[in-house]
Amino acid sequence: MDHEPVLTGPQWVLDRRRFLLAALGGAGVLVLGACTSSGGGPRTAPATVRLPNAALGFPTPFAANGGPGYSQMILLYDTLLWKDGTGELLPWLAETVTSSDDHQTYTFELRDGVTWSDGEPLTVEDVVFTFEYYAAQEFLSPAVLVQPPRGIAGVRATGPKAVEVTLERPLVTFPEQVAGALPIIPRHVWSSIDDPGAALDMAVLVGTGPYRLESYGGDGGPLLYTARDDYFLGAPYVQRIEMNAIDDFFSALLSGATDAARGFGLRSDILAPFEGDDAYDTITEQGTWSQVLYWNLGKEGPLSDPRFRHACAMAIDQDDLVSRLAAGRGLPGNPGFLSPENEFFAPVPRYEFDVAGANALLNSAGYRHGNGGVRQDANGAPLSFELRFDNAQVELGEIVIAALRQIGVELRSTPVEVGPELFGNKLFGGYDMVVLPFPGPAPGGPNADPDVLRQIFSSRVPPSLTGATNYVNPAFDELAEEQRLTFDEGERQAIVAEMQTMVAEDIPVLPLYYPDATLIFRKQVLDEWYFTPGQYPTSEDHKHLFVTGDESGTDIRRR
Amino acid sequence: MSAQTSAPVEVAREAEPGPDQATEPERRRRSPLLVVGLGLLGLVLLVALIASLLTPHDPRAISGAALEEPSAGHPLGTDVPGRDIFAQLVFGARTSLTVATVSASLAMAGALLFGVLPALVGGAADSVSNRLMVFLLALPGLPLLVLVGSLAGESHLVVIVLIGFLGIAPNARILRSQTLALVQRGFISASQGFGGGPLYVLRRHLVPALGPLILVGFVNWAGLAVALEAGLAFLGLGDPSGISWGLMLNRALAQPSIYFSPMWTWWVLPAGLAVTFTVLAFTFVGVALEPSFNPRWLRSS
Repeated sequence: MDHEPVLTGPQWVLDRRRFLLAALGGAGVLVLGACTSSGGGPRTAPATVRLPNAALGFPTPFAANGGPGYSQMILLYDTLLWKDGTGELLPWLAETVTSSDDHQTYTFELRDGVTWSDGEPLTVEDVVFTFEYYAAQEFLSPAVLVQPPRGIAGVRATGPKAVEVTLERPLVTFPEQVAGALPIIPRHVWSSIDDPGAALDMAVLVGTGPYRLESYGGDGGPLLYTARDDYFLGAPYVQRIEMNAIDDFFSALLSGATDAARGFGLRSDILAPFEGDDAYDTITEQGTWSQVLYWNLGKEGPLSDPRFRHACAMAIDQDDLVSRLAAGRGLPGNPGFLSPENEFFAPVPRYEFDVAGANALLNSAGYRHGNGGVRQDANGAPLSFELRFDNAQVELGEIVIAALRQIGVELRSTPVEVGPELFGNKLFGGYDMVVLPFPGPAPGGPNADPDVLRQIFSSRVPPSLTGATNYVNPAFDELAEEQRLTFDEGERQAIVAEMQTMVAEDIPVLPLYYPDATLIFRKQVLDEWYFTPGQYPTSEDHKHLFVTGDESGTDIRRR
Repeated sequence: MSAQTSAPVEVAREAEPGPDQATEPERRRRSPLLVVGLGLLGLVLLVALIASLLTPHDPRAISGAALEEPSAGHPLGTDVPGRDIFAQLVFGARTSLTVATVSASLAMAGALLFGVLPALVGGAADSVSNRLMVFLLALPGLPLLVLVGSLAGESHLVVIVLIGFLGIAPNARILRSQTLALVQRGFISASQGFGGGPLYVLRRHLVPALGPLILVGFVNWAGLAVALEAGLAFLGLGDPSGISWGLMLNRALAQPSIYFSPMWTWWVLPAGLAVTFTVLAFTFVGVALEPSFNPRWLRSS
């Protein structure tokens, strides 16, 4: 079988240009360091980076919760491939990857000299075991970001360092969403553990990752990481990472209690103190996150009537949401679901804000005004529904309620805690309408690989926290399958555009707005922050930065 | 019946303050704490009553842009959805006073039922009810309130009832001991000897005799209820769609880095001051009344 190289290893070979650049960069760092240090020797790489994130779950692949939990866990573990700041997939635990011509078989050649944090060497058996262990899990908490991968026909060792993964069908998303997301776990630790979600002992935290966990203050508590000097890429650039539960990120950043802080749709007065100060720098990205309105299509009546949903969409002024809730820093929702910043975004007609039009639509659909201004359906039942939302998003909930009141739809507000109460009801269909943060505890956001559309809208995908409940469109399901088997990007783009059109017409869910993500950081501590394009599996990740200190490649920046 | 009751009434009159305490009402009237407390309470009551005259805005309705600065149209600006903050402040007085009066009434009614009545009946009823009160006193009030508040969710009524419920045991203990002291006095035994049942004695003799104590308990619990309700709402455990000072504080402080902006001065401060002054007003009144009515104070004087 002919194999074509997907990624080849020698990214770290030092050619003359790189050497000169590195030498210049190093000299620059030394000079700058000498200028900024207050009497000691030249400044070195950041000894410590402090972040305002408390532990979310326990940092094993099976007990870490959501995106933040994943990014805390992945500092202790590694994947076969990993992304850098340019969005390129890099060989990580694998030195090379090749795929067969039919994209159905991938062969990973592991690096030499990779050791687990307990000193044992990484073997191909560990990789095979990882796939088998995941496959054997019948149930992982839905809050665990990376769930057992589907569509894998077999995994076997084909040499002392080679692992071959065979897929049931060629999947365009396999390198990023499986090889680039699935943490490799040690067989000698996990083979004796039957219930991985309940393994909450520090002794199980054995990974090949760049850091060791020195202390863990319980779920919601602080985390302290120290770099492994024996890491296979070399001693990580950032030597120590402290994560602490901090309530007010930006006050903490100003007061020096943290070195970076991230927020969405920030007000001008929050940004102001940092904009005028050379000690800080700011990066912003659009469309990484959204608030999404879901209708429960499993319920008979108006909720499963697209005309009703169209009218709801027309009654909500999405530009106004951006201005009220994101201080004007954001984008209005795209009914085609992907963010306008996604490279697969295809423009679809928006539901323009038009209360009169929405009322006319409901009139023509037979929803007549009843008592108290609340409309009724053909059976005389009032258009009165429960709206659940995250209690940190009460204002959004209130605006949606006020918006739909204008068209005679009554929503009873139920703010609930983010977590089991909000997502549990969503998962099991115990709701009428719900507003959820997206991606929430799911991998990939509105900027991620467009396979996210299949994961949300295809009725062939099992119900998920963020899925469109009971939405069934066989034509969409067909396209959703087709796009992930399509390796030609232009062709895939066309399929995905069609999928967006269908979703926009049916609107089983409606992204309300995408607030801009802004990261503000203290330059003196670490000066090269970036958002990884696509941000799969999670937008909170900075592992590549902490290891290399750089935006691209696997070379570790000189200290 | 009227012939039977005349004697105890005479005896009851004997129990009223003696000549050396005759100046007490004047002393009370002169107490600056009482004046300030009643003045503040009067102000809050007035605001609550004429709330709709003070502002043209519905506190729940979106009436402006998001986070507007104070202006003639919105004296305290607007919150994130664009609702008038001043309207929330004045209508919040209604919530606070409702919680205060209803909770304190429930607490005192419960205290009468579980403190005074069993003490009159005596025997097993008193012993069981006393144990029950001791048990209730041992319950950690605030954690219980937080727990029930979080389970009750949106129901404002549950919070009010719970705050009232928590007030039963401490007030029942005070009223019971005073009842036991009163029962020793002649007029109660006389009334009982003439055939007065426990409820009759409670209504005819004890409630008037305990009145001042009930008033002090009521005022003190009302003040606490305002603080507890605001505290629960601040923690996000109250009625999320309600209008209350605690909820205003909750929403204001949920704004990231609110102290970066001057808006805390027209959002956090007025709501915080409103809670503070109302609780203080009840406390002043309670403290001013206590020396004249609380038996412990009377004994020491």
